Amino acid sequence: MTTVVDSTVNPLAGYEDEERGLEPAGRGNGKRPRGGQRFSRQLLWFALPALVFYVFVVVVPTLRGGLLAFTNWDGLSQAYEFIGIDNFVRVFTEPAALQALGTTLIIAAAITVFQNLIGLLLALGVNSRIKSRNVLRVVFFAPVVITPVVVAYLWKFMLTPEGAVNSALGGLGLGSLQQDWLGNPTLALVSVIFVAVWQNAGFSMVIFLAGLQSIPQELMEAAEVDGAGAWRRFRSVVWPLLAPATTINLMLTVIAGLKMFSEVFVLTGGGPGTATQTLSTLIYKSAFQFNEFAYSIALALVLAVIVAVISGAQYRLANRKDQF
Amino acid sequence: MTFKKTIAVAGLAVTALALAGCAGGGSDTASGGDPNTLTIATTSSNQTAMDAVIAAYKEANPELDVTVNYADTEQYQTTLRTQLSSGTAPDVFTAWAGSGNPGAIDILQAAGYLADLSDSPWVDQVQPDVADSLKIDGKTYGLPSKLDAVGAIYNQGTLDGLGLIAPTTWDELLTFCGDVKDAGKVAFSLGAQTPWVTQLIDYALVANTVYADDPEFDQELAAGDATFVGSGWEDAMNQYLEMNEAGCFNENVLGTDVNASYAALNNGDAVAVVQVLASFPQIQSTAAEGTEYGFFALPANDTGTTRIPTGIGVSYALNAKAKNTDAGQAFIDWLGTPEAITTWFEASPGIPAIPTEGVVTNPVISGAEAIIAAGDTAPFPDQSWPSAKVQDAHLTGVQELFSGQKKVEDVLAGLDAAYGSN
Repeated sequence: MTTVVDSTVNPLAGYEDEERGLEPAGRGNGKRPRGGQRFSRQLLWFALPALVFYVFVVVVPTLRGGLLAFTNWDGLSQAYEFIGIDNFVRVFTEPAALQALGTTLIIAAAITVFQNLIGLLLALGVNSRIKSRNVLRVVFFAPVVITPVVVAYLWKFMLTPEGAVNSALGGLGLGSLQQDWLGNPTLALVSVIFVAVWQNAGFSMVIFLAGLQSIPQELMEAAEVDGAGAWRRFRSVVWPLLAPATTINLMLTVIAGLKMFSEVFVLTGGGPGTATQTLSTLIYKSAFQFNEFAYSIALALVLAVIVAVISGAQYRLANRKDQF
Repeated sequence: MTFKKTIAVAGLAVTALALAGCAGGGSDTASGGDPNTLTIATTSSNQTAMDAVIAAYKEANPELDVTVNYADTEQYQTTLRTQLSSGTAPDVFTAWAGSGNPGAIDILQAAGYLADLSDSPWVDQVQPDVADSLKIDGKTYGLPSKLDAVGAIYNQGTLDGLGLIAPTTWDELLTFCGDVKDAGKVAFSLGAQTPWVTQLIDYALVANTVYADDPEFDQELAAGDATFVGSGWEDAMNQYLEMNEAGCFNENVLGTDVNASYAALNNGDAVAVVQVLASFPQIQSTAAEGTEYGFFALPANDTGTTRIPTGIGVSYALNAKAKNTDAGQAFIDWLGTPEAITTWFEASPGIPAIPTEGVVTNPVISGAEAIIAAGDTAPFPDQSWPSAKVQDAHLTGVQELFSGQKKVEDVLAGLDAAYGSN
């Protein structure tokens, strides 16, 4: 989240001012941009050690790893052969991979819709003048700061047939709603989505809340004076001004949904059967259980491209909308 | 020197330092190998026994610095593979017979990571059929430590309380399930949410429906002369489902995990659980003091003789690129001595793979031992499978049978496909 915010601030802003002071005459002659360029080239030398480190620790291994997707490496042997795009063909033809892809998209779509909807409602709620709003903000945000694996284990425990959820339903006289939450293929998928939304709705709430608090009070008052009702004010004032927060939230939830691993891994392990198998859990299985490291890299690359394309498209769409 | 140049020089200097640092780190790890250190890795289920054995070994070798790492099986296998391929694996580690899982000897040896143990002193003491499953091309690559078997581990108190006796035929089994259910209890608690648990009842059944008539089934599969479809596996899976219909299991088996199944056995809600012997120490550890257990083979037919799947549960291999090969070899050899074996099984009950006098035992272990001694055994089916994919197809397949998503034929076709894809 912080990187998103930081990128809007020019880290060179202070230096530019200083340069302006040093070379006031250069501005009109078009020299300033060159001066700025020269200065950032000097800054590059400062960055060099970190860049070299980054290249060796991140870029080279990533490219080497990516290259392995075109081999038959099993993750263990010293030797491997290049086999072209066979692994990628498998990704798009093997039923297990296609099913995992479908499940991943369902999860991503559901999380995007529900997490943002609930996050927005929570934000509107705690942005109002109710007395306990600070307490509520903390309560709603609390799940976000717990490790996802811990949250998933807690819910796994509560969602067992004799667990807290079924006991609570029984206690409320809703015994007919008791279910085998993680044992039924459809409900297992619903449960995974529910747990992810439960944990992360507070995160979306905080971003929406920041957006809400940046809306000038005068605009709201003006709308009120003009006779706009609550819905009208939300539709015409709040919602358009919330666009930046919505954009960030949508992107982050789509990415998180597509990458979904820990909740699935802990709650269902991809089961029952393969009902909740996502691309991420399939990548894990292929790499570490099935001796098919190269294939798992191909899966991972496909997932990376899907994430990039969907979030990129979303970003462009949202940017166009921002300029209302 | 201008400001710019100074910065450039400083940048290069720092970069050079950073790179030198990397190179230095590399040469350090390559040179490793203190003669007084020994590194070992095994699964958490062996922790009690391994701790006891190491304590005894350290007493005899006080100068040796032993490091042991424990992890749950799945994590262990993942970590081991990564360590082996990056050259950071321990000297001695647990490996599995056959080729059916990611830590199996055939798979690790094919990649060149296992040292040849054929000249070790214990090699002659291992029974031939056990020894064979740790050999590749006539060479031994593992010390067999513990045998394992699959059967019904039952709560003696619960069984006695119901006034029932253990079933010995398939018909008796179904009647048994009905009687237990009528008494308001569960005959076999099944935690099928935990994937590896789903395979155990199939394994117990195929010991009889497949291997009793066709001991060569594994070889026929490998040669392409047999398939899962149309074999005794079909009977086994149908019987598995028949048991479910007869009310042998708890409700919501897919929402129940392995620990919940142990709890049901221990608190008297269930009479028995079909499990590997390796799980017995854990079952026992969560029970009330004085709980007594027994063991019976899960009957699959009406002949009155029931085979149980038996194989090597735990074995130890020596890293071909060990930092300390001598210490590793010495430790493995010591694990094969009567002293170490007695210590091991005193700490954690089980069947020693190298027959040893004076090993303490209990009713569950001796129950299984008696069946093995009578020769009523069958192999663990997965040991001969070419990769973990077949097992995964089985585990997910059983869950899909129970959730009604798939039929027996579809699951078996999936097993054939997974077997053939390697």
